Amino acid sequence: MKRIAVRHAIFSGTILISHVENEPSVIMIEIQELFKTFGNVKAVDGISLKVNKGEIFGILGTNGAGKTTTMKILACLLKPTSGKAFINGINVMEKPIEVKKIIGYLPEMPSLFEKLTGREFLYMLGTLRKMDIDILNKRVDKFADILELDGSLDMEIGTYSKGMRQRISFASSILHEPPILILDEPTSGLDPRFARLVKQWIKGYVDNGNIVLMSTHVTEIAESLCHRIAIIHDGKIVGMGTPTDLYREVGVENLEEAFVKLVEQRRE
Amino acid sequence: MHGPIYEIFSTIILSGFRNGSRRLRDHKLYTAWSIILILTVFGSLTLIIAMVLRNLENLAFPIEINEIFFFLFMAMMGKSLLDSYHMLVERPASNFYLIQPMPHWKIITGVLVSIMALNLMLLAIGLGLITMFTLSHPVFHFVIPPYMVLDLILLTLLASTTGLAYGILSGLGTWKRKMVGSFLYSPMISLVWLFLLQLRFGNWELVNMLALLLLSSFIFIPLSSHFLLESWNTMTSSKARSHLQKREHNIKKTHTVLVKRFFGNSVSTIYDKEVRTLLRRREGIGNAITLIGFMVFAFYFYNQLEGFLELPGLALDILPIVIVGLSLFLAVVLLGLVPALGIVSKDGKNTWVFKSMPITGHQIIQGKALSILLMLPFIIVFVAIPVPLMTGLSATAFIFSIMGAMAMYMMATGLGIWHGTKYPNYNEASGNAPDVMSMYTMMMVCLFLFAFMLIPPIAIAFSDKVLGLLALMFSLDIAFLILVLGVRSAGKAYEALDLGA
Repeated sequence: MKRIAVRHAIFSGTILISHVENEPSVIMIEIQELFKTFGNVKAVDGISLKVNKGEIFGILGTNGAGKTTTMKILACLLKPTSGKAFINGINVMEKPIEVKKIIGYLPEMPSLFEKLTGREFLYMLGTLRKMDIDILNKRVDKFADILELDGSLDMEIGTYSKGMRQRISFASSILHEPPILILDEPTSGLDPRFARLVKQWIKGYVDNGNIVLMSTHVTEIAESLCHRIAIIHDGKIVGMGTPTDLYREVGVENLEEAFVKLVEQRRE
Repeated sequence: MHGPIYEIFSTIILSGFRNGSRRLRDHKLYTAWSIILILTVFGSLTLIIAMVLRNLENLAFPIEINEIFFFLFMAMMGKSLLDSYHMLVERPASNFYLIQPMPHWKIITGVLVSIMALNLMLLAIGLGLITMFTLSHPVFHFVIPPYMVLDLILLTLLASTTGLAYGILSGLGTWKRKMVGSFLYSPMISLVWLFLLQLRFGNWELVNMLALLLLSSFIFIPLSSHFLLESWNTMTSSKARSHLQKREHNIKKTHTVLVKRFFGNSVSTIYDKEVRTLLRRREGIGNAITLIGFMVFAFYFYNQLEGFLELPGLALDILPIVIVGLSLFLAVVLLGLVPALGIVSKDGKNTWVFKSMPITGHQIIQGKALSILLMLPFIIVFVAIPVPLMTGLSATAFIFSIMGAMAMYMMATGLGIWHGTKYPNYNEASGNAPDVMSMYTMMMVCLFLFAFMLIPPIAIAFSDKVLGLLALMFSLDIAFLILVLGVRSAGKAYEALDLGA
């Protein structure tokens, strides 16, 4: 499918173009002039963007750029200082429970209940989401099998390795197969085999009409996976578009160079 | 360049100072209140001790000065044990000490010096307050003899070493090793007991003996350095424990089924998770030990005061009630108020799990609150029933004790849940435990509330039992209302909780 160039959407994020030609764009995530401050520190400084159905949207940024804060606001874990955010047209500040029903969220370095077993943890989340028990049974078995957790599902999470924790967290975010997935550094802590598996899974997932909003600071992952990318630095969007458009616009050969150049420009 | 012992000591003291400063800076209005509260609580305690010391020979008081010293030693030892967990044994960051090219005894010494310094600071505050009282009015005039000051200093240092020793030995890999280690060090406590209460040394003789004991306790430092690594590894990592679960995930436990029936699936799921965690963390065992501790304390206290009870007058009627009330208050604070204050913060970084679920804050708090309320039957069985029985109170007193325990527990839990959710204390250095100032403040509020709600029914019962009982039922209603309102407000506060960047 031919991708459409996105130009001049940088900084404003208000121009909305689907990555798929001739398809009417359905906005699933919309952020309008979002600000979040912690004391004197501006973590998010006026971010605006829109994510369409069937899209993998990447937020690329340096450490402390504001990626996690933005994602936490979308996941209803943090209230913005000002601005608005909508998920499938629902205001995240006004109806957080409705939003939580349709999203799956994977935090960066997830902390888990150490004294529960992996199975108990997944069943607890499935029950809290009011999932049908038969579907829950099937999903737990399915994800345990895919993510190779079936041998350790009855062990306490406290005994899991870093990779196993990341895998059980990933399973917990997709357990209810939500139409919108918010993934904060989804491949962090995974070995190359599972990182590849997760990337393939994400691609297949959006092909079914779902969307994935993910953050990363690895340009290779963003380039190979995301339809569109927003580069964030110091809480502001310094560049937005498809990977190809981004580095062409800056006049470099790849996304990594584009990222460095945009961030350096901003610093100057 | 300083040596490693000094570096460890200064790191601990500096971190503690910065933690305290940050807390005071973040809660400016709290600062003045905290200072007043600390001085009042600490001052009242030292004042009581000073007055007991002054009137020791005039009163036929059944407690000896050395008994008070032994209690202070035990309390200081308990504090030192907890400090050793937080500063060294249970602290993942201790790996930065352990990987350095230096012998482990230097690490232990650095931590021991820090614990000693902090404990001596507490002692200095206490002695300073006694001096202030002495100078303020002739009524309080009591000059502590130098040998007694030395006794206190030596006991404080001894308690620090003993607490650290138990901190390391109780962390060993298996229960057998924990027990053997702890038993090997127990003669130290026995010797303190013998020196203070059995051998009747002269004033300066006791100082010399305690000094000898302190010197011999330092042998522990090189000996325990062999166990530090094992203890740290055990305390900072989980054992491979598995729990097989039925595939259908049917919850069969009666209490969980009841919760599900009355509160719905979401609440019962959270309740079930909390209870499982409580049992697997062995908090249940800890709570049972605490209750047994109360029983022992109440028995000891009652036996000591038995002579007093033979005195004619109001003391005869009131003292047993005071003992019951005191036991209930302590049990309710430790098993109701303190867990309730940590209701949200104990989840720590895991808070995102519940916060990202499509359920209300009220449901989450309800589930957690019900798991705390599970302790109420244990308080009734282990404290509210046996203590009145032991003090020979009437059948009416039993009913009062049980209903009073219920009312106190509901009030303390309700207030604790509200405060713990509104002002959670996320502080990994203290294991996300409730803030000490919050605990003191809420304890004071509870004390006032208990007095306000429970003394009138008891006073009425002295003249009319039925009317007194009806008045207590009214207090019970109010307590239930406080619990319900506490949970409801906490639910709103939970929803408003920001999880930071």
